[in-house]
Amino acid sequence: MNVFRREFSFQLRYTLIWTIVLLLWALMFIPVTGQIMEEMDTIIQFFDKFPKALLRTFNMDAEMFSKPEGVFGSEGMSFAYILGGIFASLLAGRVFAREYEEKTIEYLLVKPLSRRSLFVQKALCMVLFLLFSGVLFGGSIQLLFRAFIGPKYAFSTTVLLGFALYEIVVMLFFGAISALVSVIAQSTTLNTAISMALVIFMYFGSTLVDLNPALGWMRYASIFPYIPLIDTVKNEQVFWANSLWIAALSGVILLVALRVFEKKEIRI
Amino acid sequence: MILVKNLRKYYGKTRGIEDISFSISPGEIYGLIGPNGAGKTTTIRVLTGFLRHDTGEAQIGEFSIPRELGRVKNRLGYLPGEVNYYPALRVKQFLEYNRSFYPFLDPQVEQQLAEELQLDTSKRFKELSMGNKKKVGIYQALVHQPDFLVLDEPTNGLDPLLQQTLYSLLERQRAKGCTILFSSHNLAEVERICDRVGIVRKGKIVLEASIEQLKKWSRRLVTVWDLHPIAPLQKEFDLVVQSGKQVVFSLPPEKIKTFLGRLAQCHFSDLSIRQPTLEETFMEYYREGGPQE
Repeated sequence: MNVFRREFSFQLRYTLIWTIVLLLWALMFIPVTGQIMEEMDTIIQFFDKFPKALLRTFNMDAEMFSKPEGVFGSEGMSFAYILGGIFASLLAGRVFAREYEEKTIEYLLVKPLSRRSLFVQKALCMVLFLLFSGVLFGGSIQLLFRAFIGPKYAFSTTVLLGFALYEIVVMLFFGAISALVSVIAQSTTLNTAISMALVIFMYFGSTLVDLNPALGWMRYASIFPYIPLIDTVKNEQVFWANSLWIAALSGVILLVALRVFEKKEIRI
Repeated sequence: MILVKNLRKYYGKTRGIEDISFSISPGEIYGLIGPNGAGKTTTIRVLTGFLRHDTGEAQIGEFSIPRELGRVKNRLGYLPGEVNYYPALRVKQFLEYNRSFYPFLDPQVEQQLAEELQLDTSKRFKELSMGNKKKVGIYQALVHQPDFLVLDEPTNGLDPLLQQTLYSLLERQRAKGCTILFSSHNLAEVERICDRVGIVRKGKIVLEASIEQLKKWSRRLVTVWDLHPIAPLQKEFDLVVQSGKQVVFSLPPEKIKTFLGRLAQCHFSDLSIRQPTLEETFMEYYREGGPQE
């Protein structure tokens, strides 16, 4: 597990910084949620003047805004998704693509260690850090809701748990995608460009589906429609099965990346 | 032993290597020489498993490459042409990391090697000069006392003193029975350290010989001063250099007598006959079509 240990020490600070960014985002948004709830009547009137499809595009819904977890779920979680996706992509790039970029992959590949073991140790470290970040984010929103919302408003801890789960699967998915892109492209720059584009395309692409039915196919090219924030809040229903499927899909993508890593030539 | 047989590797339509064959016995240093783009590095990268060959065979010990590379990695040392390790790591940390791959490292060998190479372990890798980076590279390639060593232009960026250190380290490895592949375009060092050489040209081994054979097979260089007239000799013999008062002819040893007979009919002030250096021999093989008869 020497590669795991080295990776752990290399990526720890980076993960902590991104986790702090996520926590700070929650800390910035959740205390304001109470104020937004107090001015809900004005907001509902504002919503009535907007096209429904446009509101849905930005996870805004009058019913959703009637609940504090809904207020956080609309804008807070949207941004947390994007932050999480970017963090996971960059972390995977640092774990995998950077070895090619710095040509250290050559050093590792002649050491007494199989390509499989090398990949698994690195992937394990990446997954561990993503889980760590996601769990901390989930824990922090529970605590912040208790501290800032709990005294005045009722909220669903189940929905907040769902948010944490969604954040974790989003990070796992984009981490896995970025690991795959890394071993194929063997370049940090290319990996960052492709992975970022995928995060943006999948997130905003899926929201456009409601504006333009012709873009309906995008629903199938994105994970976000399967973990819908509005439906989760409105129905107090966490999409456990979908989340597990996305996590499983991430596992499959990592297996594909492993296969590519085992077979692909090092052309740097 | 290290065995390479009819190895061929193309990058799409671009030639990497066309047909490379050689074998290196234990305790032998084999020099793969040729200019940039000849196919030396591609051959080495196939042997280290970074690239997969299209056809042919590559073997390290009894293990087929790349399929069984994993079984020989703990007995293999590799020094890349361009040494790149983790820039933010201090050399000391890197050495510890390297040690973690070899649980049975001999601490005495570690210490002796670090002293011989005069490693500065306190600096970060990114702070090191090219020569010092290379020293770390040599260390990680040798510290586990490998049975097989693959070195891609190992003296690039090394000062003469350090080159001598490397040569003596390699001599020591050879004495222990290590099989060493050494690529270079510096012929003086190949001449100095290798037992046999393979000259690579356009992805093929065009000549394989011991250093002694290579010198023996080579032509003689005859330098003549103030030669007049030049034309009759030039028509019959291979004039390779004409500079100022001197002209140089390249001749196979059996033609020297005839040449001297013709030369006696011309005017000249002085003459010298010498064996070409390996560099000159090498250039001879690199002239289109190889040496002229």
